[in-house]
Amino acid sequence: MGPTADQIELTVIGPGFGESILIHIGDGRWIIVDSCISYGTGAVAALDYLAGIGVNVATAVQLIVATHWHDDHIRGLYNILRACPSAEFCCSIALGEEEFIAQTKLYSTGWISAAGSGLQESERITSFLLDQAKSGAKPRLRRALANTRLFSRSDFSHGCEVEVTALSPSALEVQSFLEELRRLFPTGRQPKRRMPTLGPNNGSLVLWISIGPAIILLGADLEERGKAGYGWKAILEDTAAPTGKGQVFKIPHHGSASGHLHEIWTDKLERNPLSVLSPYNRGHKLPTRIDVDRILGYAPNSYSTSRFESARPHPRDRAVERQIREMGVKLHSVKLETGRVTIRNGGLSDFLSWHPTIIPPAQQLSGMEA
Amino acid sequence: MTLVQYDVQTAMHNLPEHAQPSIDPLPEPEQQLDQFFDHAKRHVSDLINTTEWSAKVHSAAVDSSQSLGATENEDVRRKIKLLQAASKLPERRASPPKLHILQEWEGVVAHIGSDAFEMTLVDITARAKDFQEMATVPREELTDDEWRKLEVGTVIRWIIGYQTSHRRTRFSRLIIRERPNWTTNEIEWAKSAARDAVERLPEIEL
Repeated sequence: MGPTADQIELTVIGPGFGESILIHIGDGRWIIVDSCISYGTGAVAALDYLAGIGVNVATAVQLIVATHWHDDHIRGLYNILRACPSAEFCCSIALGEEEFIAQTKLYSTGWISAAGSGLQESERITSFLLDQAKSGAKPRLRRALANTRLFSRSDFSHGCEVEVTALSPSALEVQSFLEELRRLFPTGRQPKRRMPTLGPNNGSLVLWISIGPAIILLGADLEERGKAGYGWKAILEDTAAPTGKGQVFKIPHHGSASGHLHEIWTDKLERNPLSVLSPYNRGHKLPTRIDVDRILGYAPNSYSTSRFESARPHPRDRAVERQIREMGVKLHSVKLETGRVTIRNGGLSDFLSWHPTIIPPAQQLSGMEA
Repeated sequence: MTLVQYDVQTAMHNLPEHAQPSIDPLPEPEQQLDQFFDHAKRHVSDLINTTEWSAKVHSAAVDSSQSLGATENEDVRRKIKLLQAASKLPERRASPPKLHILQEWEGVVAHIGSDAFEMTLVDITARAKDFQEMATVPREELTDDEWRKLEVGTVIRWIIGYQTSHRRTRFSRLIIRERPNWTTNEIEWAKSAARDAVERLPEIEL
């Protein structure tokens, strides 16, 4: 059952292929941040969830945000854009720059791999927005930099003003991202290959959502680089950033040490905020045991959308298993089962009281082995 | 260039020089295309032996069969021509060993270390569309030449199976899917399309 009109809800779904966040801001209106595809069903998790609680996404979704371009955050976002014609679409200012669009266009010129080019979702979104522009439709795109106000409305029955503000990327982050793109742009003497993942996750869009006194901080994949003007430090240094402290926190970058900055917990969040993360399992596992201990030190009431153990790979012919062993190849599943953490407040009668519900394999972080 | 044309060009590039087919469209009527394609595929799988080129032809056949759903007829004809050409290669043995594929992945190199590399894997056998596994492969599984070609993003086909001639032996083959270079035309087109997109992409007024 969905939230009541006066209830605020944050739902984090992950980690299928990526993660997705949904926020009910009141009166049946929703925001979708990022997208993931559920392992197994292949469904766009956000649309599935909203359909399951009877939401008509065509009119109910007000804002769609892509926090950054990595395909573990936007897979399925094109389908969401198509299904939600009333929603504005917001992404980092960098993703509308010539350098980024040229990469998406170039990688669309030929078949790269069975899992795509790594940029196909971005390319589909750009082409879709261009097609809409050609047909004379109302513009839907808003490109964000730190302190861009993405949404501001006060016509809700709960009586609170709803504001969504981007806290990042900083101008320096955008510049650094674009420089890296220019460096990666092929010269013509390089063979075609899948787009490598740029790191750190520069250009990632952190969101500050305030609904009256209720504040939610969504950390996206922003990482700390230990340099003034970059990463989380840039947010702390920004005197124009919204004031207040969040009660609910989507932990950045799968709980990794690189996404951590002590002062975010002390200056931007209430003590012991209700926190959620979505684990990661490609190449390296996040969070580590050390990460879990650190997070629990700040937020004992934290949740993960999934267990940390990989899903079992489907059984294979014994000859295949034997061959893999003899080659000395280490093979492991990167699949984590998709789970869900939903946090709702008490509605008008208890606006700042938050109550989590977990759908397995989501779990409380304190009971988990990393 | 369409996706299918690209596939075909790449597959042809993978064939030995003497086996490069001419790519004139075939005259067969459209309704016979599927039949021809199946026939050609059967010939290719009969041909598979231990040489590297035949495994590449097999990969091309798999790619072809996977992407046939949304092809244009001309492209289908080209694929058939390619596969038929492969089935007539003079290297064919009197009784070629048969290859029975048990497992096939497509990998994308994610990290290259000093004595191993990591790749994320799409299970082609299970018809998966996304990375669901990751492999750490020792360096000795590749030749020095192959190792030098590795880059993050390089695509590799990994096949495990049995080959049978006089006796049955298990095999594993890692095949670097050599892609052509980006062309100047593609690069210039992408830059121009991006300039155009930036001009035409309307934003919400603040």
